[in-house]
Amino acid sequence: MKKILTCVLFLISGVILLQNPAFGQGKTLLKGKVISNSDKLGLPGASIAELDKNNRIIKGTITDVDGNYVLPVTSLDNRIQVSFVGFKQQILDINGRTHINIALNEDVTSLQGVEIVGERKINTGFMNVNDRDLAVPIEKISMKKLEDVQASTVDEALQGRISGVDIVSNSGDPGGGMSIRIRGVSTLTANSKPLIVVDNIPYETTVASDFNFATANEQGYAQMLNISVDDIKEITVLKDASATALWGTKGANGVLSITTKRGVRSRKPLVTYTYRGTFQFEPKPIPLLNGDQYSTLISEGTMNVNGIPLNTNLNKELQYDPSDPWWYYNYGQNTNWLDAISRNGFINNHDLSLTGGGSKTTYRFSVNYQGQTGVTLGTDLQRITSRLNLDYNISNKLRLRADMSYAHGKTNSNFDRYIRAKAIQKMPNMAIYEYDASGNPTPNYFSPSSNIQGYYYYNDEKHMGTYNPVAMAEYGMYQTMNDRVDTKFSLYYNILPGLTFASDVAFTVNDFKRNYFLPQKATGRPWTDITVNMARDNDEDNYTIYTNNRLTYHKIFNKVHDLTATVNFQTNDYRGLVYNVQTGNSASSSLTDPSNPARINEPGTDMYSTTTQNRDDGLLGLVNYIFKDRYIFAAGVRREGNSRFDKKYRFGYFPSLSGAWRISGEPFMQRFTFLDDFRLKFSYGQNGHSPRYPYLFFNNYSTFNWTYLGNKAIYPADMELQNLKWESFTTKDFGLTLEMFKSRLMIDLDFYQNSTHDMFGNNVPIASSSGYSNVTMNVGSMDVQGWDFSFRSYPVRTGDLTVSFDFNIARNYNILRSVADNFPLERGRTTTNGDYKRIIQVGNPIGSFYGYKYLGVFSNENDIIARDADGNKIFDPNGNPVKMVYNYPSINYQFQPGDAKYADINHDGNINYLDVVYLGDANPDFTGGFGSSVTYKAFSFNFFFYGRYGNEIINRTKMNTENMFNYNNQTTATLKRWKNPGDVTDMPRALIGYGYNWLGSDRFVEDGSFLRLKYITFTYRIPSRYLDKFGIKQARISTTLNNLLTFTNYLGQDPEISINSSDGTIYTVGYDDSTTPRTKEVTLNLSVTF
Amino acid sequence: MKKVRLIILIILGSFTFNSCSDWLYLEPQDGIIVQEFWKSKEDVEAAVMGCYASLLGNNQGSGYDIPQQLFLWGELRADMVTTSRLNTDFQYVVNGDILPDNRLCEWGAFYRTINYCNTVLHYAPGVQDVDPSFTTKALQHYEGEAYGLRALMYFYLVRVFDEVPLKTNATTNDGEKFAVPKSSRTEIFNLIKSDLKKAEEYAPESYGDIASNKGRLTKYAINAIQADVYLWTEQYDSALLACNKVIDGKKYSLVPGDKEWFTTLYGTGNSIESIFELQFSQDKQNPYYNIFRTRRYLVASPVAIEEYFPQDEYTLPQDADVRADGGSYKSSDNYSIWKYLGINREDLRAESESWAHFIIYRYADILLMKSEALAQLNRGQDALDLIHQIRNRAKASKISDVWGGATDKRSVNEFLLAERAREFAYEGKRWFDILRFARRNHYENKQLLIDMVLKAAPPDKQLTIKNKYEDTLSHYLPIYFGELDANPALVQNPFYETQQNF
Repeated sequence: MKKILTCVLFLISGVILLQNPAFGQGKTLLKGKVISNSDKLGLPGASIAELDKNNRIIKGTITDVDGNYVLPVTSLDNRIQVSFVGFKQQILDINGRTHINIALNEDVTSLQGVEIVGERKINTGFMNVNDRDLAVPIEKISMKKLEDVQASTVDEALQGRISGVDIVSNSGDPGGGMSIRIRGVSTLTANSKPLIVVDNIPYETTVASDFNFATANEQGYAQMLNISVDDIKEITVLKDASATALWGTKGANGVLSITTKRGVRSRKPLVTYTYRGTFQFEPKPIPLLNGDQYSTLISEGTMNVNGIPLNTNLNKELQYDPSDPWWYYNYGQNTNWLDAISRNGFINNHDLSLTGGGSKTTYRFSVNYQGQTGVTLGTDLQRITSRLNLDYNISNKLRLRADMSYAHGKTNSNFDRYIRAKAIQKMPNMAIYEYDASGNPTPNYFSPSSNIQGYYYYNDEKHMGTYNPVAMAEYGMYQTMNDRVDTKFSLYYNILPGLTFASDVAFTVNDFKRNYFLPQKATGRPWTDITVNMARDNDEDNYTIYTNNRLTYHKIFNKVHDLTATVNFQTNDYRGLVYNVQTGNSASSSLTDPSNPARINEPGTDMYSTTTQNRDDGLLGLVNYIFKDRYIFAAGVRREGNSRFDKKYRFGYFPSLSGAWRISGEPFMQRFTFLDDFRLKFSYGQNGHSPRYPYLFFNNYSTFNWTYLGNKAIYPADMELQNLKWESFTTKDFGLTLEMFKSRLMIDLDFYQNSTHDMFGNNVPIASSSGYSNVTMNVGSMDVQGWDFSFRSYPVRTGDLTVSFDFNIARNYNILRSVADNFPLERGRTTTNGDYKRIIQVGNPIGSFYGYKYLGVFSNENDIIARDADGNKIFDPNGNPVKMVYNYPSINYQFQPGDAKYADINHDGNINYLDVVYLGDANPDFTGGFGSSVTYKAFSFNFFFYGRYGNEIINRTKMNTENMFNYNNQTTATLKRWKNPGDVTDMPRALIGYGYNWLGSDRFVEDGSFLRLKYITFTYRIPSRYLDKFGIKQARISTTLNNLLTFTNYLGQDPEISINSSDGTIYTVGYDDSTTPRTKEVTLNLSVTF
Repeated sequence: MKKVRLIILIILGSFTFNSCSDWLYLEPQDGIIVQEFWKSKEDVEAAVMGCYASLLGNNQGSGYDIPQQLFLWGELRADMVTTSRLNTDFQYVVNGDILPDNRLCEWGAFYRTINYCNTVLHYAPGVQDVDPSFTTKALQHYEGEAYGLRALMYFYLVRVFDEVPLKTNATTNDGEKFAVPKSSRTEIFNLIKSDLKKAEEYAPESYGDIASNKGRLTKYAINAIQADVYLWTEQYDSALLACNKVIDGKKYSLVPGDKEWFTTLYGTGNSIESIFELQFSQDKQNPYYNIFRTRRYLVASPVAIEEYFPQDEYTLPQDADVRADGGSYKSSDNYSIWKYLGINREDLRAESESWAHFIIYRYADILLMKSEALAQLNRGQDALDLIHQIRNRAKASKISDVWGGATDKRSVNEFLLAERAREFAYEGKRWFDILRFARRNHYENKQLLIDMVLKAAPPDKQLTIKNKYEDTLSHYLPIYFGELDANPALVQNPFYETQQNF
């Protein structure tokens, strides 16, 4: 290893030497020998360099085999620097000498694995400010805390860690990402994901605005955060508008700033290898009916509709006639479909890194491989990432940095993302493998082209017909290949004392190739069907060029005035290209690529390409002033231009202002010696969002996908949006920071309010008489307010024992302040089974939903009679009892015994919209987490809990598995359904395709509060006395258990649901459609450093 | 120090470089923007083709597209179709439970086409200034088509909703007020008539090739629409005049009712009989195959078939009414709606060839519309002659040849109505026919409509449905709930007021 490194350094120094035109033309020759102090032998290959007064290398050379050197120097007043890998560097004044022998000492301190930082500093993006001099809400977390935690991605590791940051995973599938929200959602329709910044460069996760994929929700771009957890040094969360001023509108939703690890100067190379092996298994799924119970239910449900039994001659699936063996065996099974497509998952993660540096150069190189087998058949992931961070200090004044990373990932997903939901619905009496006509099993999957449940068809990603889930998992293909290259070059130049210029240029190439293929075997459709051998190829290329130039001036006047001023200019140029081809019905199932001859240009096929380009720039001026270390002021203004706006609104101006008062610094506070820092903070800032889609200010014309009479047909595709302006918001934050007992207790508390104005309404319905059904416009204003609290402590910190305890909690809620006239305030219909009414009201939080109150089941005829408020029966003028009806007069459905009973709020005997009541709110009251770590000598123990409190979830899984409305399989809860008059139960009768037994009611609404033990870790650091003889510097072994325990009253699969607003509407509430429940995981972690 | 200055200069340069607004001006690279369009007569033609192409399906937006709505509006509420597989929207209509949340009530697709027409009318005249080769005559042809199509769209809307917003200018930017209130029936018909008048003046008699003459609006197609409009507004002289213009043009004739009748008229399409039909093609297939065959949501109602195509035991199969089994429907294919599924009387189309055209007007319609006008003008015998011309072509069964006498206006009317049911079965006409006959002379024949609806209604719904249909406002669809939300200027059809809250 040493040799390789020597070579690398050799080459680098060689390059530098060549570039020096003065080489060999020096007037004086300096000679000498470099030896090792321990064995007094010459050191071949050691480098000797002449340095000027700025420590810039002027000339250099290396020693020969015996350690001798000759260096022509320009001035004998300069200094020389002697360095060799594994030895301490020396810098000597030449002092007019021409012969210098140098003895180098071996560097032993490099055993120390962690750099010790004197003061906690925070990287806000433009300058490193001392933690204690901040006036804005910022929080950071060092990855040291998380090193033993099994996490495939950064977001997963951060979950619950930081106050005000709500991270929820979208699903348990490999590559299924996380939804991250900082301080809730302050926009209805614009993107509400925070900006991710890696080493001061925005990590673009933009996807081309390809409409098919815009709907693909966050899962689609989940894999994009392809940064190995092991590469991360720390993560800073910037929470409000003044903190994110540098990032402008991109950072409007908060910023997650990731700093990766870098090399360390003058350090022997350290090699660290980490292995994580994770075993994933699924919790117990919901119990479903078996084949026999299912068939009974269907027959009963059909009969209940109109008294006519199911015609089993037409629906032989439910005939169970042993004289017809094909039907009898193929539809006489008790299949557990969910089991059949489930398995245990396994994740392998290998990480290798190499860190070190010489006197001028430092480096860190890492490579990480992750292989994952998902818990659902047909899902897996392979990913390799590598990163090289290089620093080269040319002189004290000039510094260069180059970072490169490459990630390649291959994810196999199920062709149908909702396959688990399909498996739950699938009729359990159907066989997985087909039986032949005489009832003998065959090895082929049983994929009938259609049956009572329907057949396979394709509407969109969410709506596909039914199929044999095992066959689909096996044969349906959906493969995503992702290649991402990030390169960044930076230059730092100290022009004058205090005046620094920095420049970054970054290039990102992010490519996706998605291949879909659906052979006939997966669906069983007839060979002529367009879905047979459907092949789709979607290619997406994203290119980003980012530049950032900044000039910073910093000076302390008279020791009391600390002034920093920055001017910053950023540009960003993004281009996205998408090509998509989808063909159907190619000749063979082995022709999986759409380039093969197949049917195209008909429904079910597709061919398109799109190009999107966005540009923005931002000019920021910022002043930070600290007086006497006690009074801190910062003010700035940013002008941002964005290509998504027309001239009129192209530039937005966003000022920010913040201040802090360090009370602990005041003379009168000096007696409180236990106080390290006590600070009051205030910040105010403005920021904005640009629209989600580009080119809105053009009146665009498009070409029809079809011709008319062979002629090209063109139509106006949209209208020119002249009045669309920035969605702007103002944030105010008051906070306090308290640090006591030599940093053993730290408290941060912030209160904040975000007021959003000119909120974007995406696809706001407008009168369709205009020719358009919706338009993007500024629709209203909204406030998000709340508080964050975090508490970090070290109750015990002695030599052998360290105990830490962290706690964070946050509350935030949004209030709609105003809304445009034609903005529809209601969604959902209480006349439709399964739908909830979602009403938004000015002055109220968003996310409330309404429906009926469920009272159980009408047990008998007597129950159906309407009653007044006092519980007395209601009679009509003729003296006959009035029976309860549903939605008179428009539907006028007469309730029957066994039907669901809803509360007749107004006691009029008619269940209709007047009986709809408030059922809940999708927003949690609190989110937060707490954890502790205990380290005793070589052992440590670490756990973390996180949770949500006070949100209501609509358990749609329960709804779909207990409605007994269609031919889908149901849960065993339906076994206690009403069957005969007099039955007292809370489960209505089966009623297929009829009735109103599953209207949106509180029957399916549950409290979504939960507290989850996210992980618990045991670590043992093997003491060095056992390791030395193997040449190992550090070794650590640990085991982690993830998602082991969940405390909740929620009866569904998993209360951790993401409130997905990817459909861009205000009406979204928390639906639980859980497909893959959160897996439980056991991880073995091994880390060795050489 | 020089170096420092240089560096500062470079830095300052880099700050100002790019900051100009031009760098931020990006035009879309996929489409065409209005500033680049409307430059030549070819652009105008492409835009006019866009108006027609929008009749074939949804290019933007969701919901039922025009070809589906044309069929559903014309048939679903009437007696000749029935639901087969579960489709909630359709089922509610059949049960008589039409609520404002039924997607059948969406009119967006029609206004989209109207806006395309308005856009053509707005920009096309200006093209003459930039394209000298664009003659006034050519411009007028295009304008005629746009006026005609706009009138046709409003004619459907007014018959289905009674009162709808009237939009006659193109929507080009978000500066205008979108919330347009409803206009009265009279105002809408006035616009339709004046549009048709201009269209009649401008539209050419022929576009030079058969497909265009059937797929685009010719002068005769405009006359056909006029005849229909005048029948609806009970102006029988004008209707008669319009019909005669088509007949006197001598461009059309009936396809003989022989073995090839089905193939010529429906299987291949664009026959000598056709006046205006939607040109589905390999490029753009119709939605009917999916509804009628793949999903089988709707099939021919056996009750209606029995009534309109009674089995005549004394007729040989080859002498039976050509419009019966194998013509309008196919009993051996579970009573599927054959006009859009068959390639000929026997064979089913392949799914990949589901491009049967949808006929909006054909010559037989002209003859029967003329007959209707004559009957109303008390020329009963002339009316009967025309009906028999149609019947003879189709070899209609003697059993269905039922009428009182030439002077018995009511009986002629009913005979005509039944004949129209046979002739235009599943061509999206039935509900409009019934409604037109029922509402004539201040709803003289309301019972006709109620009887028909009851025939198709499920037994447990009979009473409710009868009560509903007594209120003539119920004969029009409600305004879709989303539309009311989006357009505060709209007022719901009072019949549905009570049902609006859900």
